[in-house]
Amino acid sequence: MPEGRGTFSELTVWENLRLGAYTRRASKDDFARIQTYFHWLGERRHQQAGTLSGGEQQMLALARAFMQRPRLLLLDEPSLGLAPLLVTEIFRIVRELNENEGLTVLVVEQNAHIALQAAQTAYVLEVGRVALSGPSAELQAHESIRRSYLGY
Amino acid sequence: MVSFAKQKTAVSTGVSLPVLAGLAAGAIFLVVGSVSSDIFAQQTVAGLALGAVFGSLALALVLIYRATEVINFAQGELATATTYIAYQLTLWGLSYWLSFFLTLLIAFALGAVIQIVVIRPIQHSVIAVVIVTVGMFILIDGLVTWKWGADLKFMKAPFGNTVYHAGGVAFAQQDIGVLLVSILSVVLLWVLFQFTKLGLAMRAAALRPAAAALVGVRVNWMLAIGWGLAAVLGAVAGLMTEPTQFLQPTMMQAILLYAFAAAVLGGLESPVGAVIGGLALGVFLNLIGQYVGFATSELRLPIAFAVLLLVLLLKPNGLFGRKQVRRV
Amino acid sequence: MKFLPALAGAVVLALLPFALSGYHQGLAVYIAIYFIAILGLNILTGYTGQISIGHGAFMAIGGYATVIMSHDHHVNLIATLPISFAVTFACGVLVGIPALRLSGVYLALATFALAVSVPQFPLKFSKFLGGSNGLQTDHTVSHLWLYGVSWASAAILFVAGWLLLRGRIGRAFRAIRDSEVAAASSGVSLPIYKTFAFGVSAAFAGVAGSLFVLATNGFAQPNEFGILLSLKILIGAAVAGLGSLWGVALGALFIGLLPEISASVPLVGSSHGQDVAFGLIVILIMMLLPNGFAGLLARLESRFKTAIKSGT
Repeated sequence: MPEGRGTFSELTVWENLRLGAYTRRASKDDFARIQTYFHWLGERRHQQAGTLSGGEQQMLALARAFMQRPRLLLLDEPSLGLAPLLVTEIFRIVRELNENEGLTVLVVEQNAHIALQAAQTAYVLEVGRVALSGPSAELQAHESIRRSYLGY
Repeated sequence: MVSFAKQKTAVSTGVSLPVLAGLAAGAIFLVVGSVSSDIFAQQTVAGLALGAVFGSLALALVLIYRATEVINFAQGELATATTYIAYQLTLWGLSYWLSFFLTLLIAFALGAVIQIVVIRPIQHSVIAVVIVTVGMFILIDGLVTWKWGADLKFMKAPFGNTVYHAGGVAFAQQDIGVLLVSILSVVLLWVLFQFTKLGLAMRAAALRPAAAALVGVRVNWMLAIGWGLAAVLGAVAGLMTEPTQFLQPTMMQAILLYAFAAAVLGGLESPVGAVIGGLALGVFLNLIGQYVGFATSELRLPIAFAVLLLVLLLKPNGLFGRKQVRRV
Repeated sequence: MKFLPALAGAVVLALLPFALSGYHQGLAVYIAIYFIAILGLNILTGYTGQISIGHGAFMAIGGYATVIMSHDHHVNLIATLPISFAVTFACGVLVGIPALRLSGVYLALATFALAVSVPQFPLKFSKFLGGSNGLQTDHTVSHLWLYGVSWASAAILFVAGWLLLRGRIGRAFRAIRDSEVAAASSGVSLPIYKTFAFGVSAAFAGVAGSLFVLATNGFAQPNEFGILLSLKILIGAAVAGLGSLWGVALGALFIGLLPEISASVPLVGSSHGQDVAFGLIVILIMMLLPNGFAGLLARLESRFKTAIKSGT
């Protein structure tokens, strides 16, 4: 899922989702499954994607990515430009996908706080090199991480 | 930032209420006029038939513009060439309709090949593409004249020559056939784009090539298919024109010009607009020619282009186009 | 001295006609005409970034202006040239005003509309403008006279164009071409410069049109100024390389000489064969040399320079 959403604003929600499953045959199950995670998508399926709010578009992009039934999901700055409430919501869904579907998720995220909370393992990159890695609970407590990225 | 269409429905043609109202008013005007005057009716009917041909070619132009943001100046000549190919097939003994459908296949292949070989390498430069399509115009015109000569040729009329009379107005079966074929083309195209996976992929590739590629759409193939389809539409337009204009190398040249005006009138991005624009233009030209003494036949082309200019200046997106905001 | 090649060129041009037959002199005149027209189009499209497929229309206006002045008012033929320049300048500005609202493909279509429509007017207003037979100037001129006048005009306009483009105005044009928004925010008045560019460009085409009429035995006919003329000039400008003055000569040579050359090639022969050859070559050039001859010249020049540097 690319930075900045990449949804097709001129197409409807439904069409965006169908495109997500372009390389496979989409079945009714797929759509039903999507709806369990993104409840509101069903009733808004004929709405033009461009008229959704930023957060909703982000979730649409996520749903679309999920339509591809990936084993690994790469998320690039999912929190970009979103209100904190929505960011929490998105990460909650991502966690659900991870836990219920066994989907491996790799997130590149600058919001260290929420990223560390949601993830199991974290890698800190500095100038392209891995400076630190390990279970996120540990990193959250780590002195230098707290100072540099978490602000306390 | 892209601005949003006025409606939140599934229809993505961006039709606005004033335009629909205007069209409805126009249609009512035509019906009333036709009922009260035979000449009016005759001109309207003839205008619709003429406009159907404009619309078919305009449809091809719009298809290519929507998919690749290119104005194909060679569309008319391509249509002429494919019509000659159909002619050649009939000379070789094939029946009219067999030649018709075979030609459509050949046209598709030709259109796709042109996109892949000639357009793709230079599609980043607007000027280069304009020049290349102009070059193709000249090239194809030369090839056709070289191979088949400049004299008139005739093919069997597809819809027969019967003429119906109703209430003092003559309806040629040929014209009705052309009108039906045009409408059928638009409907088929609409079905393709709205309901099939391929159509959706083509729309996605035209809207956001990068995002489309990310979901697995082979964007280059979509563009080639777009050109192939446009060539098919052009072939249909050419074959529909042949009965009235007869087969000659310059057959589609004037029609291409009117098709440009029709496409701009309808909105360069709207297939429905192209056909309705064509019909409207045909009827408009006929009626103006009949009732405005000043507007003699020499002024037909300038009038059509005055319409084009007015549309460009007042409502550049045409009757059915979407509002677009330029990215800064 | 930087101007040496230009000076040498001028000398060659001045002496050339005496070595050529009447037919070839005529050919050289057409090359001068295309030169001027392409130069004008280059100013508008290459330097200011506004596409125009309508310069045939401006040529028509200039041509008819000359003919009318000569036919109806017996104005001296050379005197008609500056008048034609002024008239078409005004027309160009008039066209440039609504063109401010258009760009890219839409502008191309609008100018295309112009190119197709303008030649129709003499047919409609045949009383004043001669209908399909056209009008003729009050006397015709010799090839030599024409050669002199056309190349002198070409030289004058080339120098004028060069001066215009290297100065502030030229910089403003280029700024507009590269980014209108950036240019406007730097204080370049878009309406003024864009319409001025249209005016100048049209004026050049107008002079070319006047010379064109003189070259065709003084006849101004509608079908001479059809869409094909506009297309040829556009092709000439693109093949020359937009945004460069030196390629213009090559572009004019291309448009002027290709029909001649292809006529003599055995397989090609007929006029249709010429069209095929022309179309094919234009397509090939655009694919292989997207920046036209000027681009090729630039590349050769830099290769030459690096060769010298590494050779010594």
